[in-house]
Amino acid sequence: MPASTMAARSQSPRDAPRGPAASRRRGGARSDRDGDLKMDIAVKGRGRIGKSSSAPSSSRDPASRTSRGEARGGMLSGTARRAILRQAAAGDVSMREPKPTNSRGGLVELSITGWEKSKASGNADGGVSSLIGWLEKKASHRLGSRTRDVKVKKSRKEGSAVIISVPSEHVGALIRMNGYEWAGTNVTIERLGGSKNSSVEVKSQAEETKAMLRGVLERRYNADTKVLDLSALGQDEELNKANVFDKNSTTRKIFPALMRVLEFSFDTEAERHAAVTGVSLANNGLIDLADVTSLSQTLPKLQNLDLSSNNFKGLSSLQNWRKRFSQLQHLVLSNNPLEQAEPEYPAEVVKWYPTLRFLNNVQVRTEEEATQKAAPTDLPFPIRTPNFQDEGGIAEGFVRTFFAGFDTDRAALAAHYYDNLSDFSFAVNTQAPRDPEATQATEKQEWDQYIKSSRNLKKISQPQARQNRHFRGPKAVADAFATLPKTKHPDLATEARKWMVEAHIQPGVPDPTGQSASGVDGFMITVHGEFDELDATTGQAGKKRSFDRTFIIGPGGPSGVRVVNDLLTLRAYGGAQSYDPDNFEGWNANATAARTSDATPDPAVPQLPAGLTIEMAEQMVAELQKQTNMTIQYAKDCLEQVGWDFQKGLEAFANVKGNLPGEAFVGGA
Amino acid sequence: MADFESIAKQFVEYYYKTFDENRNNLAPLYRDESMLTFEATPCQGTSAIVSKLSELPFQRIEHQVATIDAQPSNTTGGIIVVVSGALLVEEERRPMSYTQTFQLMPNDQGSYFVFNDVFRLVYPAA
Repeated sequence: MPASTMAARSQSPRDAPRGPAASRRRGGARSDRDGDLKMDIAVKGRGRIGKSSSAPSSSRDPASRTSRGEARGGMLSGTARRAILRQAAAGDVSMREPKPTNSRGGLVELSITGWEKSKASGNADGGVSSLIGWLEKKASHRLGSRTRDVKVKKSRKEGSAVIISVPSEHVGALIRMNGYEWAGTNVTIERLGGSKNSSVEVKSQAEETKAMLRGVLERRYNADTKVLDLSALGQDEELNKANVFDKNSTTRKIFPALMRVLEFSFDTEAERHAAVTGVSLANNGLIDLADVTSLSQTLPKLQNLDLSSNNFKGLSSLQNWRKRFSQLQHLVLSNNPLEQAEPEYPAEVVKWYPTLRFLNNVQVRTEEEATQKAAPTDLPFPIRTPNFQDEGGIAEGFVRTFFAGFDTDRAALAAHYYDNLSDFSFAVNTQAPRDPEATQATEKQEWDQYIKSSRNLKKISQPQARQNRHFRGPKAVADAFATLPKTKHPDLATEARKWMVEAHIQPGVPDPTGQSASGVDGFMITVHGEFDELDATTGQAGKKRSFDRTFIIGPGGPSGVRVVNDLLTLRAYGGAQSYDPDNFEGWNANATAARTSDATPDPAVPQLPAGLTIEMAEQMVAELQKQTNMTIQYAKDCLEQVGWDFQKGLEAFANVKGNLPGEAFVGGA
Repeated sequence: MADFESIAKQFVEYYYKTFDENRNNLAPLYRDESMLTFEATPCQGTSAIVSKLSELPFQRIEHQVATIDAQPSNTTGGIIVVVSGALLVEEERRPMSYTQTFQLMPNDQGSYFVFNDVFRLVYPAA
């Protein structure tokens, strides 16, 4: 296990400060530099699913690994995807080396440029100390809450650059600020000497690819309509000219890389969604969604989607996106074979997307109807805890899709996520305490439907019996799923309090392509929740149960994500109090209170009113900052004081602005 | 070489016996790259993990394991172990339900260490 793997674990992207930079970065007109994108990728990519856990192996030309006639949608296309992603994200390569060339005694040197023309340039030191103070403060905060203590250990001027030395664990937080505005100028923050190491050739090649992909995105993005036109990618001159892709399968390989670059162009999902509300995938010759499925992870809140003039033969080929795009309003499916093959498809599609207003430019719902349907899905996902490490929404997307699929179509679910090496087993805990309100009475033989296959190693000791209860491969898993009673899980969005979901980067997950002997990065996801058993004949909700489920997921399979391990524990319904923050404080609260000097505070979570997500709060802070020019910290404090009522925040600002110190304003320190 | 199921079972028995007797003695099971997420609080490294466990606000504790399940989890001999059970703390006779997931990795001595450890109470103290 290389040391860097653990660094990646502790460097959750959620730890990184996310400046609400929406005001500066809206649309495609982001005033970035090349290095900005590169470094975003380097940092974010560290925990990425599918990344090799071993030394970098991405120095080979991806095209050389891709055999031509490979079966589409299978593992090999996953190989191609990862190869391209590795290349596109090869800023990553140097970061993964266990000992960076410029690391001394745990300190890493970063170069800051572009600061000289700041408003602080009139200071005696040209603004250097002010710059460093800002770097420390900003990197220490997320949404104005101090989440870490970043200290610049050493600094020196070298030409037009300021070189700072910081502990390696804070490098990510600082590099995330690359391109941020400080005192009226955008500063560039990058690793010093990063280009001097052995992967220089790979990097420059990757840089070219990234620049090319970014160029494609920029050219195809319309800032006025907020539509990203990814139609007819196979005919794109620039892509063809770049000649890095096999022309016969351009879409397959380039699409995930484009999505990746798109993700890294924005700090937050909210920014991304504000910038891109519509996507066209017309004229791409698509027969199913395997090549483009990452769109639903990158832009899950897309409003307008054009899939016209492809080769979709039936709705089954669109099944992957059935539960996606919870806010879709306009969908175009015209000029696909499915129109003739399944003429009744519109009724079904309208059911798939409760917020849909227009299908093929024909109104299918009024605004009111759509708004009514939309209301519940606007609520947050329950997993925004400090312990949810995610990359590009992969873990979140998995949890959402998985439990929806488990309730509706387990056979399809098994085919979607499980391959020949996927393991599933479950155990029934018949002794678990029950719900204190005792709404679920004990019955005799109440676990009958489960117990035959319950693999409790404490009780099942015969090797053959254990073996029989260990399900491997999509067929065995699907069969095992089929023996379990039908279920209905609470909605993740509207009944968030009934769930507790945590995710951790999991290195060393088997690589189904066999390229990396020591495995690749995936996620360990632990889910605690409840479900209703449904009566097989009437569909009526019956007994309520609690469950705990641990997954390890990794790259591969038709959807790009495969289940490696799936262990389910079933128990009597015990309520959700233990993870409801209002009802139960748990041991941490006690332990923290008991300690007088606490060197390692728990990760700070902003105190937000119920119903307000961090993302919504960030948007409010960003908007208040934009309208008032106050710093993030002041904007956030202001909103906190008025109970996160935006209008009141503006009024409060108007009342006190004459009395605010200079440091309350951006660039006014 | 024992099968992974037996290893998992032995590990679980040893782990909770040690935990209940003197949880400071769990240190050899962790390493500097080990990660514990205890009721949402993450800590990394043997010393951080053991201090976290030793600082828990109880003296006497008894784990009652109800279920153990395990699967091989990677190509290098890792085992993922999921335990559910109940806890009795101090003189309290009403149990608290918990689940704990361990990711075990082989060490060089033919034994195993805890690479990842995620603990959650799933039923509150009454």
